Amino acid sequence: MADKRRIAATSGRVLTGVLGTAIFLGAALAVGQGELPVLAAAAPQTTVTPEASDQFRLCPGPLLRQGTDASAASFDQPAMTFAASSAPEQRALLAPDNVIGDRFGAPTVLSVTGSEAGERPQISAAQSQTADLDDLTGFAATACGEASAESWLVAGSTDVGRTTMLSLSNPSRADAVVDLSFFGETGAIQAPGAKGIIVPAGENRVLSVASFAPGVRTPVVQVQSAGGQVVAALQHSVTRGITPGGIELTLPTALPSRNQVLPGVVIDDTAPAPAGETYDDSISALRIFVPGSEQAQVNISFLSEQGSAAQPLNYSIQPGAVQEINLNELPAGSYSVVISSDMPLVASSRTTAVAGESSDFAWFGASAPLDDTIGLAVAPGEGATLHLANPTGSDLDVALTDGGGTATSVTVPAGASVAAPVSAGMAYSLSGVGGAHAQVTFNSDRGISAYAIQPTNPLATPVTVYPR
Amino acid sequence: MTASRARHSLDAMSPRVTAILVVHDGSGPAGPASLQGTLDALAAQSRQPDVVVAVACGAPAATTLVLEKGDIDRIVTSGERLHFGQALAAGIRVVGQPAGPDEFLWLLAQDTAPEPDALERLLGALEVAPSVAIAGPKLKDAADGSTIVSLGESVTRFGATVPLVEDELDQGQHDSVSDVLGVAPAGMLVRHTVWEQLGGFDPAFGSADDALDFCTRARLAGHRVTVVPSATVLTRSSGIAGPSRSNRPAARRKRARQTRGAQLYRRLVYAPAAVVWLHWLALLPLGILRGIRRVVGKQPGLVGSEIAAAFRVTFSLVRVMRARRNLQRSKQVGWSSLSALRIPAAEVHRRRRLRRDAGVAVYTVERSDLRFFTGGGAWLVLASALLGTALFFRLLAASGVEGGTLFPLSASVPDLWQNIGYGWRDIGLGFSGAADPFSALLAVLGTLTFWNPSYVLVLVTLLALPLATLGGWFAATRLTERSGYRLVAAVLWTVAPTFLSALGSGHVSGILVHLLLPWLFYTGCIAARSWGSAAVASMLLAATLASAPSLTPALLILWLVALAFSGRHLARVFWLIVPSAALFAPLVWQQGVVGQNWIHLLADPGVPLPSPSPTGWELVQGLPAGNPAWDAMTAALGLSGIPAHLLVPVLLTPLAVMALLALFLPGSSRAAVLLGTALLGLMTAAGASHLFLAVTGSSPVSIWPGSGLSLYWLGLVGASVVGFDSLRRAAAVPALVIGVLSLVVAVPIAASVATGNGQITASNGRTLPAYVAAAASVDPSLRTLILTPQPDGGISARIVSGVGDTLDNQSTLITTNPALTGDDKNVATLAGNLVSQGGPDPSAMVAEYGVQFVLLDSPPSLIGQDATSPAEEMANRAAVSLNANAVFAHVGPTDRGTLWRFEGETTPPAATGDVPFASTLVLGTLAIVFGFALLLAVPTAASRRAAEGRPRTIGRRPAEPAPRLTRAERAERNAAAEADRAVELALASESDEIDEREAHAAASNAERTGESAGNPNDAVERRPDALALSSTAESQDNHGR
Repeated sequence: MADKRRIAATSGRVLTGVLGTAIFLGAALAVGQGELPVLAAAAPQTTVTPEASDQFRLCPGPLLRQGTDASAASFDQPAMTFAASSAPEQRALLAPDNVIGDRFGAPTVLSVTGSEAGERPQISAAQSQTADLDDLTGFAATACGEASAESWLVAGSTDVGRTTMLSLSNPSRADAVVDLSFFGETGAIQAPGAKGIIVPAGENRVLSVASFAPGVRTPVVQVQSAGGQVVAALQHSVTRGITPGGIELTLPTALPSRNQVLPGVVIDDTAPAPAGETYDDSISALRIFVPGSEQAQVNISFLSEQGSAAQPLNYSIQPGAVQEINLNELPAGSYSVVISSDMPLVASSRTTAVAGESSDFAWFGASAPLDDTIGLAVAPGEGATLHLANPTGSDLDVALTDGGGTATSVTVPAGASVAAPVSAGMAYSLSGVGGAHAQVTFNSDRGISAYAIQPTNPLATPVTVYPR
Repeated sequence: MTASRARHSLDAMSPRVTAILVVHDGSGPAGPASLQGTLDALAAQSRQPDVVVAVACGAPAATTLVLEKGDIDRIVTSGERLHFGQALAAGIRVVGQPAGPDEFLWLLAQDTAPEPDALERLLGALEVAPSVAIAGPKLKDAADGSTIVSLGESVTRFGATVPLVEDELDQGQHDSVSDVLGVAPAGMLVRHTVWEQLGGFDPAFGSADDALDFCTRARLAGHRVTVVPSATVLTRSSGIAGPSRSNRPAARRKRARQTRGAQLYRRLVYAPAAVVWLHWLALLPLGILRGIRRVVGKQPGLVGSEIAAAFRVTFSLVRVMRARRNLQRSKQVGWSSLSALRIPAAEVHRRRRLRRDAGVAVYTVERSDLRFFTGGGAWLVLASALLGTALFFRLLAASGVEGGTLFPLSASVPDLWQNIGYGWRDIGLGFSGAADPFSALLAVLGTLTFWNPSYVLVLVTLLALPLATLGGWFAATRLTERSGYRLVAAVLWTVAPTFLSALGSGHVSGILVHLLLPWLFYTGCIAARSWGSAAVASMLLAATLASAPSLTPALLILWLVALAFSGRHLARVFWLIVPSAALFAPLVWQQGVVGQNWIHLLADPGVPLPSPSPTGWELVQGLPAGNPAWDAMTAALGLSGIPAHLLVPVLLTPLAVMALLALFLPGSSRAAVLLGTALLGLMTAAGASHLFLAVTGSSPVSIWPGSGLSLYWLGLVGASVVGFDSLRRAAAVPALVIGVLSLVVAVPIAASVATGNGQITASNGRTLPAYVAAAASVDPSLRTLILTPQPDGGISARIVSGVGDTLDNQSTLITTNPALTGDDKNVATLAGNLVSQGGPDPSAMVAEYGVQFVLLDSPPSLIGQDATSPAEEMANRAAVSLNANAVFAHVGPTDRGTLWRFEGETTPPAATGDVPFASTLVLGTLAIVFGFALLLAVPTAASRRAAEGRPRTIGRRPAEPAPRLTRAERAERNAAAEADRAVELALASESDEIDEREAHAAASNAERTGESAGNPNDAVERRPDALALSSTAESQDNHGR
């Protein structure tokens, strides 16, 4: 009897045990292998379109000639083109550093006010000027830029015979306190007096880069402003011996990023070939600067507009020091340079071409991806070409409408770059360019020049706000 | 028989006895059978009553039939169920007026069967002494025929009824009693003239104290009341004459209400006219106080009785006045004449002590010593404390902590308490709503360190390990008596991967749950045993659920199972959930009933913190957020792939095997329940990791699965300990191995916490820059807009008040709300324009919201994802735009981000408004419920004694051979027994002396000895189970007052 009870109890326990173990292991297996649907709350969000505001563009004004006493003086008037949704209001800034005064014009603010409908007003403008002096020749075209708090100028040189002038224009209503940081091929440059430069509201200041960073072949200037915002421009001119070697007026390149696109870098067939190992600033080059403290692995690829293939380059670039990469291996033609890196960097490219008896050079800046519809102002000049690079994954059908209403269709295949001829001094409206990068180049006997088309005020695009 | 009765009635000079028999329904144990017994006993009387009048109140036909067949002279029927006193009045009405003092009334009920000579002896007592108006018999329990139910009654100085003898085996030890203050109603023989003179029983009484009051009035009218021990009446005490002696809860409640009501009523009737109103005013306050005392005395069921009695008497002033007039009319002698008959306080105390000592002997199980120190538990806690100090060495001097979900608490205790319940929540732009229950837990915790509420979080972090060890050790005492296994259990609980993971990532609710769960187990599993445990467990349950609402489904299932098995202690088990329900009610109302977002109730309280999603297998291993520590270590060792991922599971397998093995061993039911708990925990964790209910910025945040895993681990460890316990000594080695292996699993995790991968760091107690904090100390209503760039390039915008986020001022109503409110949209519009260039002047909006500062937080870095460039771009854009904004002044970079100050004047935010009625209601309910639970939880001497009568462990107790005792222990035990006996003897002799002093008549010494020995023996015999103790204590309470 007792035995029977014990057997019953034991078999009951064994049954419980087997059943329990099976359930437990089954549950563990189910949890381990099972795929439960995820119930995820959607983050509440709202897209805020900043209220339309007035749009400003600042054209840097006439080219300057540096006197023997390091003063700056204008010598001719630039030509200007603009494309705007309504007739812009023009306002010249005070330019006290220009000893000539405003005889040949001054940095000019073009502004359009927001329409009643809340549509964002559009404006784009460009200027160009040819220098034909004894010691200063060449063609310089530049876009009129937006004021910003931070900008990077990747251009210039303060080597012997090179003159680089930094123009800071403050179109805003508040005085700007500008901090300049200079970097060269040897690293950051200690520049006394480069911090706390006051640019009063509505004024333009011209500074000689050589006074902060003398003898630097490859300067990079970071401009940071507090209070008001400034438009920085760099005028770079070259004199080789006694022969003038060209002039260029450049606006800031795209801000540091892991991906940079320099559309439409033109390498003329007259570009000089390198002679020996010495540094020569007439050689086509890509100037790259990696801010920060970590080495960057950089991949540079070239999208040829002529269909020729160019080998991509791989570099590892030390941080803190400016580096130039020779592009003289590239055959003549125009390319869009696509740089990808594991660290943010800034980049710009310089090429030289023969112009008449002398030579001229151009700086091709990096540009940010464009909005879908932009206005485009082509500065007066010869050999104007619009370069469109499409690093996105889909083809772009771009409609190019000139001021007369004539539409031209351009297809930019994915991962390719195309060149489209445009009329100088003409305003265009581009649609379907979302994600593309654009540059306008001028290449003729009179000289070579380029300016990148930057998207309209990236700081006023709609923003997604999460209220939690 | 009729002939004999006739003979007596013919004799004019002989006394005439009218028996009044009150009959209620015929059902139940006192039904027709006992009625028949009573009738038979009447018929068998040696001195027959001259007239028998039966009063049938609401009696069914069967009962009436029995009466008609019986030898009854008159039958009075009433449709209502009259009280004994009213029924008697109805019966006596038909008898007619008494002709002389020799007419007697004999009061009987259907369940009182007099012995054959009862009437004769009662009559004898009245006939020889004309001064005696009332004689009562010795009432004995009809069930056994030998237990004295009543032999005279008296009152204390404060008017509480005291039975002179109660529940004693009748050995003739009280047969010398004669003059008493009162007697029980059943079997009472009273002179009819006196009955008429006094107006009978006061109808205001129910079944309690009616006879005592009548006897008191008789005494005051100059008559004597005696008890006649030689006359015996057997009673079933079904509640017709005198209170029912049933032990059912409902009967106990009714008895308590009637007893107390009768006492209060008598107090008002007997009191001197000058102070009646004082007594009347004191009724309700006293009722409430006594109710509280009932709660503390672990008799929550009797609270209602106390208060109901007080109310009833408060509103029966008319009856009191009538009774006072009646008393005045009949009163002949002063109250002082009664003083000798009252029970002196010393005697009351002596009885109480005797009863208590009688209870001590009733041990059916022997509770072992706790052995916390001798068993090594204390040393393990100490070691754990040292380890905890090593892990959080950096926090030793800290005044606050941050990291993970740890945020400072409100700066002052009143602020903490303001954030509980229902009312104005100063979150964002503020709203009126329910607080998370977690805030209440934080308020309690913060009050512990009232000088700096945030410091309690430092303490929780620093003491987390030793507290977990302590909890684990105590929880194990419910499962095993063996010290070694308790230690293993404590170690396993302390090194739980989920606990260390919570400590590493700073999940404060995960930490708290792991610290609370063992105590919830410790008290919850014996909730059915005592009200004290149930009360403590109910509060721990509320705290646990407040910390981790995701455990609600699992714990609710366990509660329902416990409820199903609770048997007669349903009320205690049911109570477990009441405080939690009260705590969650406002949130459930707002989130669930009104908002219809039931699932959002499960969201973790506090600040949402994204954590890496664990895989299912990681959950099975008890890892709530992946295993970065082991991954890093195996990577450093060069292991990768499957072998590396198998290490931890292999190390933990023995634990699972042991837990499952316990199912095959004796006592497997405990293991089955624990494994069921483990499964519930695992399911909770699996569900939690898939429920992304809360949102911070652009990222949804899952419920912390670690809370569920703590429950899972509790079940696993518990089942293993059950297995160890069942295997006895054979499990020593496996237990050691399992303990060591779990330590191995824990070492890398703990090391990563200590070596800086832990998220918890010392904090200065601020979440906003010092600049803002300083401004907020002047103007606490100022607001700060916090902008945080999101990984997708968006930006989150939140408004915080005063000194910023605090842990207690968070709301799941906000974090889980998927919809944009109007305020949200306004803040978003403001933020969107602030981080964009140009745009309109934001001054008006900024001023309206009282935003004085804008803080651009550094972009949050998601785990396993670098701060992506869209976030950096947004940070740049926001900085540039704010810099360019003329109405904001750049204050500069701070430790919390970049700060801007609004240059304009702000309007102070609107006042919080009136305290809504709901807020008062919620706080009042919480105060009552938790006050009730706290009072119940207060240990009393009686509750401690009751606990000692139960084994420490739960469930099946493995049949163990008697513990082997050393010689010294045996000697000690013998000495203790000797001492007990000596004390018993001393008490007995002491009670002898007291008895001697107070006895009204001399009695033999032999009888005395019998009485003193009779008390404890009696209790043993009547209630051999272990519960005797508590019920003895209760009955003592009932009668002691």
